[in-house]
Amino acid sequence: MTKEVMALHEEKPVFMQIIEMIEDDIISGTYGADELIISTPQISKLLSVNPTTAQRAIGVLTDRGIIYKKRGVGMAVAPAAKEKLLEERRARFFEKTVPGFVEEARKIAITGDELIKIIKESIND
Amino acid sequence: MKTMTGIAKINLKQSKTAYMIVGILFFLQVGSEIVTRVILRLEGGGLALGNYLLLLPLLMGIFIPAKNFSKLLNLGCKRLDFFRGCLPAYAAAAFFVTLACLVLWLAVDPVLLSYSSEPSLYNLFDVFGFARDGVAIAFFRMFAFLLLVSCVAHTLTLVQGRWYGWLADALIIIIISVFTPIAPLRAALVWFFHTIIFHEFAAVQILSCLILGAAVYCAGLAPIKAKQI
Amino acid sequence: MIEFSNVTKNYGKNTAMDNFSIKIDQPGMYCLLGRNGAGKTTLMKLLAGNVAASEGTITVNGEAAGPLAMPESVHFVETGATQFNMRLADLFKAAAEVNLSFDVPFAMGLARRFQLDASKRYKHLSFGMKAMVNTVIAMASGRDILLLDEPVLGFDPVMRKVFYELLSESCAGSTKTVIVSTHIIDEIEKTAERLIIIDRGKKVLFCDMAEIDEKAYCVTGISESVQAATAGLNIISETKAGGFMTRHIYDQRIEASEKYSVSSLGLTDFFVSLVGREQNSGEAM
Repeated sequence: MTKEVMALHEEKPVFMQIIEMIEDDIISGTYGADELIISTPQISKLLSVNPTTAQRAIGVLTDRGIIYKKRGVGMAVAPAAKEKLLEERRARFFEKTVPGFVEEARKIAITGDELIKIIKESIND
Repeated sequence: MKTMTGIAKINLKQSKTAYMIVGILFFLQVGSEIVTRVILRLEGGGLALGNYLLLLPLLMGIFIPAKNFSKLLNLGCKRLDFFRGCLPAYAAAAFFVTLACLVLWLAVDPVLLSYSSEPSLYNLFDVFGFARDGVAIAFFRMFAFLLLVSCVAHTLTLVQGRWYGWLADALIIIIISVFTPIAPLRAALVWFFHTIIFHEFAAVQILSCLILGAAVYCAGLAPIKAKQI
Repeated sequence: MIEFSNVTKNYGKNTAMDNFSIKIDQPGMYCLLGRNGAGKTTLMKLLAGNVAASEGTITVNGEAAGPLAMPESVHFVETGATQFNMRLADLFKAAAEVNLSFDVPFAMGLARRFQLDASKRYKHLSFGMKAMVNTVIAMASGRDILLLDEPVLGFDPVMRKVFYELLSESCAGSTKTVIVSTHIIDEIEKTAERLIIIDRGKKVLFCDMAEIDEKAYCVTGISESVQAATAGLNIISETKAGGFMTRHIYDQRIEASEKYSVSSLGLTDFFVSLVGREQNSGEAM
């Protein structure tokens, strides 16, 4: 977890932020398949959050099949977790981020051509 | 059962105020006896040494419910256990006080009297007529009486601050002040004290003290139930 | 397992508990919140069998609780509890005399961890230390249900932190049910597993602490859009200023939009919104 994501934001429920942190770490490869992730007490101590909140985040991730329980040791990353998360994130990107981005550009009168140019430039940076 | 003796033990240990008051009075008396009788050789009547010890059961009956109750509960004692754990403490106190008084009465008082030309020490064993049937009976008569005193003090302390406490206080005052001037009522009062103290049959006196004591002690259950910690 | 069924407790004309019902069947740490006089202490005293209910029944592990049937499994610590003026080591031994399940070595160990000097007499301890001693006596009592009434009153922030760390540590993995009442929400918000909020002798909320994180939030923005967005949701309080409005919600989360922002509500703000209604009503409603 990088420093900037570790600071909790106010807008979202804490458990969702914890979920995102763990997801980011799985996507970035910090946690590989079948590797153990941070434990609930560790989360609550590190982020100074209520253990039930951390438990809730772990619960949601387990239900979604992102992590699974390794008997006697803790929670581990499911083999297909990274693929699944990438798929989800991509879907979200196309369904939410892109339309929002385009909408905002339209609002401040940036034309389509300009937008494409800007995107190309920022990718090359 | 085990907690009952445990609580009794703590009650006996934590009656320091009562011990201190009785101790101070006792040693003051010892001092004054030595000065007046042994050194100055003054004649005259006085209370025997042991009499001051008799205050102990009374004081314990006041201090245990007043001071130990909430502290015992804060240690994890339950109300019913408190009820069970006071009587053994009173019984132990009555036992040892009676024993000490008996020793003083039989061993020390004669020594003090030997300094006076005429016997003039008032000991409750003599005053109450407990000595009539021998030392063993005297012991039990005093023990039963002291236990009754503890029980009455215990329950009266517990009821203070509740409506039936005020009622009990008022009744006692009324009985003493109204009964005394009116002859037939006075007779009843005399009969009552005669039975619990002076009765010619030791068994009657002992039993009436024990039964009355038990009844009064059990009446203390109601205020224990309602008492604030 | 603790159960209150329709419990009412009157002190003269005052009603401290008003037809109160609750069922606590999971062990763990419970945070009991309420304003002064809301009935927190009464709830604990009823459960400990220190006062009798005027109406209704309280059962602990299936057995009715009352002054002459104080539940064996409950240990209650009142605020500013007095103890015999003994050395702590002797005090723990005395506790073992009156309560056979009391664990003296465990108490001594806890006292060391709390940095309490076992050779000191109770009266010579500071206010905070006394509260620590009372908590140690509770934790070593061997009883399953511990009721701590304002245990951190008068503690400095460091002591509070140590206190809750030790409390949650000794609760973890045990089957103890610990109910803690307090006005200082900071630490307990991060420690307790479940939350009970009472107000004027009534239960207002009983939930998992995680639910506050999930469901308690604040919507701020242009009045009409906030009103539209939160219509039908459980609104716990509302503040207006100019054309803008803030609503505190306890319900399903909604997404933020351009016209209003959505942010989490801490337990303190949530609690104030929930039980402070009367004071707000003048301006807000």
